[in-house]
Amino acid sequence: MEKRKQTTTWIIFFVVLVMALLFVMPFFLVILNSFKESTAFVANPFSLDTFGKVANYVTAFDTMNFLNAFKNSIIIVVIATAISSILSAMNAYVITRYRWKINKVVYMLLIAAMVIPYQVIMIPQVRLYGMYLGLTNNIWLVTFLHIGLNIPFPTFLYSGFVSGIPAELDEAALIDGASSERTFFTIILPLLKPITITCVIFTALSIWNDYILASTFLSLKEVKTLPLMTYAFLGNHSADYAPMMAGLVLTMLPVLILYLAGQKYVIEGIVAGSVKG
Amino acid sequence: MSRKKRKNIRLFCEFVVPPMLIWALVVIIPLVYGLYLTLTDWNGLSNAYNIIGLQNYADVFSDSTFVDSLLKTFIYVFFVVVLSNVLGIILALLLTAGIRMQSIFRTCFFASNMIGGIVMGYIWNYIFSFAMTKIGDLTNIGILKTSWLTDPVMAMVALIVVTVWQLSGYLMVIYVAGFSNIPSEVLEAARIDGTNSWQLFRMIKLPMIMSSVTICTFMAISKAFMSFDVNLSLTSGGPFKSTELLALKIYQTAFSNFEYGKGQAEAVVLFVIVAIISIIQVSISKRKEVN
Amino acid sequence: MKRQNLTKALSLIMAAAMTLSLAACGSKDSSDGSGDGSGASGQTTISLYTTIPGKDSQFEALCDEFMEANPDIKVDYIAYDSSEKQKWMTLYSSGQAPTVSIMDAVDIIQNSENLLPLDSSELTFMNQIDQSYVDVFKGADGQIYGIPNSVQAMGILYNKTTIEEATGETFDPSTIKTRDDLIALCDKIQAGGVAPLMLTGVDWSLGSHFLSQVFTGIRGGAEEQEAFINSVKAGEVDLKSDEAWNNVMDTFDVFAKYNYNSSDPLVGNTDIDGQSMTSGKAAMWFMGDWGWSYLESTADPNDEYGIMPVPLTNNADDAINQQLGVFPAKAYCIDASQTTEEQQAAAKKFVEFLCLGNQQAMADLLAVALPFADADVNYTSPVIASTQSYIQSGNTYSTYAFSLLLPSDFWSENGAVMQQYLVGQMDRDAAADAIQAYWQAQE
Repeated sequence: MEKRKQTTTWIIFFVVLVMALLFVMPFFLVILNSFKESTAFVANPFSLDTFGKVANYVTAFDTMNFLNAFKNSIIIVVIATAISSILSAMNAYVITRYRWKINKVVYMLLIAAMVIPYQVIMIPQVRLYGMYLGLTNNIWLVTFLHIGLNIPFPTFLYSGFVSGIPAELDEAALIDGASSERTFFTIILPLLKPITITCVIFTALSIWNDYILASTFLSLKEVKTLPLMTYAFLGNHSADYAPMMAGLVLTMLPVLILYLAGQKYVIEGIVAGSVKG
Repeated sequence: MSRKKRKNIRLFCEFVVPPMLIWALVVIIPLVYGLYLTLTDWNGLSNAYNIIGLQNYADVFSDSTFVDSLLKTFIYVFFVVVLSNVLGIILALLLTAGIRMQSIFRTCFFASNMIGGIVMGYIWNYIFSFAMTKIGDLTNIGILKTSWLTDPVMAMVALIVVTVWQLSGYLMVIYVAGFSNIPSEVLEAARIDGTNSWQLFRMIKLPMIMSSVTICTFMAISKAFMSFDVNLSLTSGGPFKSTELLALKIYQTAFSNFEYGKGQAEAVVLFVIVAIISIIQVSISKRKEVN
Repeated sequence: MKRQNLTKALSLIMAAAMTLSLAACGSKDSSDGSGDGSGASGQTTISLYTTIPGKDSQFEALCDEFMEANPDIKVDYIAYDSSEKQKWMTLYSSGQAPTVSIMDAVDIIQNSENLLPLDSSELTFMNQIDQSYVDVFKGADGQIYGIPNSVQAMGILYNKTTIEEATGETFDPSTIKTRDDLIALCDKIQAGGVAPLMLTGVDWSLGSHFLSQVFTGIRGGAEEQEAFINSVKAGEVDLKSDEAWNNVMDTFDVFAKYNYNSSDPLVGNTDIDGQSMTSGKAAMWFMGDWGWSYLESTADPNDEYGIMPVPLTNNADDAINQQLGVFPAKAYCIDASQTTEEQQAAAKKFVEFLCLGNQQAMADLLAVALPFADADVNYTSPVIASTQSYIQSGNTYSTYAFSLLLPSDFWSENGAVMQQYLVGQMDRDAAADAIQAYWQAQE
């Protein structure tokens, strides 16, 4: 019996291994070719021809104006993620804990908002914020827009989690005379840690990789984010492949680190939250 | 009573109003303005435009290429939603079986989400046109010898493969959470009763993750309907417009053809379709959860 | 009491965070480079939007050079990212219309209501450009709205060395006077074990470039071209039985037959195709002189490259078979709708600089020929010399319709038709009907 179980585990292990290799194959190719000449990539993406060309990373670093673009990306991601997470947590707390009619309306609105295609609001946003308020090439505006776009989904995740926290906890605090605000910040918020990490990772990933919003509002090099700068490698119906792949690796590393750091909590957060939604 | 009500109003203003206000400024006001623009003949560049009523909507529905694109989008969404959820569940099952290096594998499957859609589409484009054909030449496997992106059916398959590749890793995380949340006593009890693995999955695990299924299906539907980045950079709608999904079509109408009002109207139609389908899906799966 | 203080403090922090985030969004601080165009130090700020991808550092260097010579003007460089028109539209919608843009002719004419008419009596260097190129940018009101930045030619790129090695004979492109001549050459090259011709099966090459030959020089001059297109739009012409259409498509069939990519005709990657040509697997390529940029990185310096006309008919007396389709690809235009007079004046200065200021740098950047008669530059591309010899001997035909009369979605809509024809999903008559239907829908 024990032995049979062990064999099954090994079979599963190998199935997973093969699937995982297939899944990361594109990344393997990106990394491999980021160390080659562009012409060698075109000739054969699998060959080790010209392998060892670290200069691509230097080129990518320069062409992408890396430090500056990195700085812009980081500012937008950190501030937008932090504010949207805390606002969503507060939002979710009140709309799940208090059975007011208006909270139902708010919740339904947010769910509906998750299916609005960005194209519907893209140009109107540009007209309103650019033409009428004169805000373009402004990373704070982009940060603000990301906060707004990242209210519905985190609120949805948080509200699932909040409804899983026993109501007796805050009731006890309220009877003790604490206000609802205080109850939230001292009792509920610390309990939200796992789901917060989940929200932070999902939100940060989507903002970090955002292309269309940034491309709509940021056109000067000083304010561009990393994904926009990967376009610097694309030519007229052609591309400078090797440095571009090096640029991709550089763009991916920060989020990979973030994910690895928070991975343990990502699952934990959803475990405790989603199923009760 | 009135004191309590005042407190409640204060709480609402402190906790709910700020996020909803920002959200309204970012999403709702532009949405309303966008609806207004669908009633105009604005070309996107000009300073002047005329109100033309519902003409744009009439044009959208009488445009056979729009209907074509809508049908293709339905096919695409159907396969993406089904395959990404099935694969997501399988991966989650395998990755909760207690094998070695579980968390490394989870990272591998999730990795596809760490890279933006447009760039990812380009990479896959190179893989289909450079790498797969190379493997085809070496191994003489017919299906790999010509690029998938040059055949209408295979290009759609490629588009679905890439989307599923990305989405299933995302959904896997939610399903892993769902499976981990099943109380171990329940599984133990079932095992002692002598249920086999399939029965265990079908009778116990699946019913217990139905709420994850609801969420994941909802997310897959909305993501698939709005799929734009990958479509643009992987196939750009080709070959000969056979893979031009709705979100890309909207973009082409609005920007390549200088018909902004019509493109905006197409986008509104897409929004309404996704909203209706999502409502139906959520209410059906919610009912299943209760059972 | 203490608890209340804590709550208060927390709400204060939240409120502060809110105001801060809003205030930060509201403030146009240093990160906002544009504005009404007048900087604090009396500088005039203008912007340059290019739709020429992958050349950011070269353009920035040119901007820097200009700013050094003109300290009272600041140029913001706006790079192209994924879609040239989306970006242009977005910039206009946001009140940030670029002062100077480099755009296609169709887009310039489409947007002429917002652009500044350019006068050759003021910008005298415009007189250095062949009038037919300038006329491409003439709006409905007869004013000129763009100054061409380059002259390009579409045709057959050939690797003379490959051809001669395959055939064992010396190759002179001027001996190819008819379609049959081309076929004979192809047969000889094929006998030598090399694929004679190559098509890149992408919509812009097939639908915009190859197909445009039905509507351009083969019809005659600009007026004949316009008249023909109008009659197609009006449904007075049956494209299926049109002689020129059938001629061009007969030549297209030759390309399809001898195509290096015939096993997978739509794979369409200029970099792979470029390597096929430089490695000697394919001898001739339907492309244009800009195609050198796809060859440059792998070309053997001993190989000889050039460009020659596509023989569109089978009559050696038809001049068109010996003529290259030459066109001004993109042009500089200046915005008039969202700019001040100072900005427009600065923009004119800047355009003049881009045209004349550092022609060598501009020629290197564009990798195609400059349109100015007095330009004194060394082109690194050997293909340009070939183009220039056709221009100098007057062996060019008018591409007026290609530059100006084909709507901006022509290449994608009809490119799809040509692709279907190429892979045999559509026969010639069906393709003709589809293209005719496209034109009739334009009315």
